[in-house]
Amino acid sequence: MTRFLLLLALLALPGLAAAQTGGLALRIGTTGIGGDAILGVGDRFQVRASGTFLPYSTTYLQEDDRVDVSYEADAQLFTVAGLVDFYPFKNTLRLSTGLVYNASTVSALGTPAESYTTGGRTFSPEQLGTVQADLSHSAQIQPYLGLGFGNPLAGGRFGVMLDMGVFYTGSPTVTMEATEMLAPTAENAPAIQEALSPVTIYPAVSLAFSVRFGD
Amino acid sequence: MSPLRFSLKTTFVCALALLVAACDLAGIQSDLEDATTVRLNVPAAPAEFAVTVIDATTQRPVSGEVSLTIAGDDAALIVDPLFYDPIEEVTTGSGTVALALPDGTEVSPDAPVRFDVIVRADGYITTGRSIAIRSTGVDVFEVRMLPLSGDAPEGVSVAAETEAGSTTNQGRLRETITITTPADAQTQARATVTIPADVTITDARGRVLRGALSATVAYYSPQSSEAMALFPGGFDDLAVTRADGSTARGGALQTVGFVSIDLFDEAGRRAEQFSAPLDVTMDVPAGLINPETGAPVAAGDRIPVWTYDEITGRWTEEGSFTAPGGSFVFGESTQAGLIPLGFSVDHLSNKAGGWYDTNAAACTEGAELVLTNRNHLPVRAVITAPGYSFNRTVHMLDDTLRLDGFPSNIPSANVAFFFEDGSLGSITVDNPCGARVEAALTNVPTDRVTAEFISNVVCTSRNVTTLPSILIQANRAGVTQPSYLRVENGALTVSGLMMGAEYEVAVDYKTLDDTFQRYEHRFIAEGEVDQDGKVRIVQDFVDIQEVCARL
Repeated sequence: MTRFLLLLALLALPGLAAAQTGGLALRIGTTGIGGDAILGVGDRFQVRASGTFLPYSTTYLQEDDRVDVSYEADAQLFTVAGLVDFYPFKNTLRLSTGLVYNASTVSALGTPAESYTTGGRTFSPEQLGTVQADLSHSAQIQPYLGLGFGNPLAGGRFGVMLDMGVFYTGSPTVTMEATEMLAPTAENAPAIQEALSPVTIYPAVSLAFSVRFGD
Repeated sequence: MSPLRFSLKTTFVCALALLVAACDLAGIQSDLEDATTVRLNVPAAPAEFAVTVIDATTQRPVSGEVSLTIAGDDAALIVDPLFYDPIEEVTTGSGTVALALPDGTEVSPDAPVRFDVIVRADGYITTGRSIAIRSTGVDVFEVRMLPLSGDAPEGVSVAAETEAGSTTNQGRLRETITITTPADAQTQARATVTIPADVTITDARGRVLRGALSATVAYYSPQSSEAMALFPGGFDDLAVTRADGSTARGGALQTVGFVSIDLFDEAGRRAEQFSAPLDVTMDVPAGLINPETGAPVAAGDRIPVWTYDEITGRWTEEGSFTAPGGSFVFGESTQAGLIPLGFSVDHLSNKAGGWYDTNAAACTEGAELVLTNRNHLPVRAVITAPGYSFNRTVHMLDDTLRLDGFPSNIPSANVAFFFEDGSLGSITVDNPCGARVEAALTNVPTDRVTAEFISNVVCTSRNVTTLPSILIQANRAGVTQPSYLRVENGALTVSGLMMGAEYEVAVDYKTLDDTFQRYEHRFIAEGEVDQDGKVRIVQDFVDIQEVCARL
C-alpha cells in the first residue's frame, strides 16, 4: 500500500506545480457508493482517489420439493482506489489505470427451513445443521484498467462521469464450514473455488456526478 | 469522429468485452452447480443388524429364496434400516436381511429389545432364532439351516427316505413307518420315529397327505458344537412357553439333544398333524449334566420335552418324560451309557429334550472380551461351552466381544476366532459372567494392508450425495464365510486386504414388495500403499434405482 501511494505521488509530482484545478464527485456503481477527489495534472492527466462501499445483506428462500433452504447472504464491498486518468484527445474520453485496495468480503449462511425426510426418517433442521461459505481474495491490492467518459475538470462546473473497467482480483478463495449432517458439504469448498477460478476480474461500472473547484 | 478516435474507442470497448466474455459465465455456472452438491451424512439407526441364514452343509449363505417372519414381544419395533418400513415377513435371495430399530428406541442390557425370527426355505428344515438387542450399534445374527438332502455336519445324523410309506386313497397310512437315524459318530446316539398304521396325516392347512410319502429325520447331538449351531431359537435369549401356558424369556434351554422330523407327500404337502400320536425315541448321551440334580442324567430323571412352534418361534413344553433304566438296547446296536428318552407327539416339528433354566439369565452383563490386536480385521467368533449344549457365533465389528446372556451356570466358555476361512486361535474364558478379559489373536496374516474407502451413494436424479452409515457384507472372492463391516458416514476401513485380490461388497435393501434385494459391487484391491501400510480407495455406489427412488 505504501509503495502504491508513493507511486501515485511520483506520478503527480511533475504536474503539481502546474496544477490548476481539482474536483469532487459522488459515485454509484457496481462497487457501491462513494466519492472521488480529483486533481488535474497538466492537460492530459488527472489523478484520482476514489473510495466506495456497499454493505448488502439479503435473505433468500430456495424452495425445493424435498426441503426448503433459507440463505442469508452478506456482502461487504469496500474499495479504495488510486487512479491516473489519461485524456488522449483532450476531450471527454479517458483511459484510467491504477491500483485498488479491495477489502470486500462475501459470505452466505444456509439453514434448512424445514425438516428433511429420507426413506422413512425425518430429520429436523437442527439435526441437519448449517452451511457457511466465505469468499475473499488473497491479494487485496489489485490493478484497475478502465475506460471513462466525462472530464470533471473541463467544461461546466458540474459534470457527469461514466466509468467502465475491471479490477484484476485474481481467483477467489472459498472457505466453508458446515455442521451436523451437512458437515461433509464443507468438503465442496475446493471444488467451488476451482469452479470460480476463471473469475479473475471484477467489473467496475459506475456513474459519478462531479463538481469542479478552481479555474 | 476521426478514424483514429473511432479505432481507439472500439479497441478499448472490445477489449473490455473480451475480458468479460473470457469468463465463460455459462461454463462457470455449470461447474458451480456440480460443485455445490449437498453432501449429507445420514446417521445410522440406533441399532442395525443383519440376520444371515447359513447352509450348515456348505457353510455359505442360503442362495435360494428364504422367508423370514418376525414375531415376539418387540416385533413391532423392527424396521428395515434404509426406509424404516416395518418388517413382519420378508424374503431374500441372498440369505441376508438388514434390520434396524427406529430412531428413538432405547436399548440396554437390562432392557433389551426382544424378538424371534422364524426362517423357512424350500429344501431346508424350518428353524429360527430368538434375538435380544442389548445395545446400540451394529450386530450380525446367524441362523443355520440344515438341508433336507446332502451331507450333514458333524454331530447331525440324518435318515432320509424317499419312499418311507404310502397312504390309501382316503389318506390313511397303509403300514407303520419306522425311521431310525444313523448313530452319531461321537456318542453313538440316535433317534427313531414310529408312525403307526391307519393314521391320517394333514398339513398346516388341514389338507390330507396322499400317496407315497418321503421322510427326513435328523438327530442333533448335544455334545456337538456343529449340531448345536442348528438348535432352533439359538442360545442368545430363548423364549419358551411352559406346559402351564406361561411364557418365559432370557433363560437357556440345556438340551439333551433334539430331533427334526419332516414328512411330505407326492404333491409336496408337508405333514403337520396326525390323527393318532407317533412315537419318538431319542438317546441321551452319557455324561450330560442334569441341572436339576447337578449330576449326570440318570434313569428316573425327569426330562421335559419341547416342541418348536414354527408360528411363534418359541419352544413349547409338551410335558415331562422319564428316562428308563441304565444301558439300553436300541434296534440292532447296543451302546452302554445311552439313556433312551421316549415320548409321543401328534404334530410334527423340531422336538427337544432339556431343561429351561431361567437362572441362566443371571449373566445379563457377561464378561467383556477385548482383542488387543484385531486391527480392524472382521473377525468371526464362535462361542461354545465344552460339555454343555451351547453355540453362539458373533461377528466382531469392533475390538470388544461381550458374553451377555451366557448361561450363568456354565463355568467356562471357549471362544474360537476366525478370519476369512482361517483360524486366529481360541481362548478359554473361565468366568463368562465376570469382568474384562484381554486376549490376543494368533496367526494374524502379515501380508495384508488396510484400505480406507470413501464410499458415496449417489442418486443422480437429486442434487444430494448421501454418505450413509450402513452395515455391509464384504468378502474376498472365494471365501466361504461372510464378513460384515460398517460404513460410517460413507467411510469404511477394511483391514486384512490382500492386494491384487478380488473383493465383493454387498448391500441388502428392502423393496416395496417385502423382498430384500442385494446390490453387489466387485473390485480389485489395488492402489498405492502408503508408509503406514494403508491404501485409499474411492468407490461410488451409483444409482441403485430402487433405493434412490424412495430416498
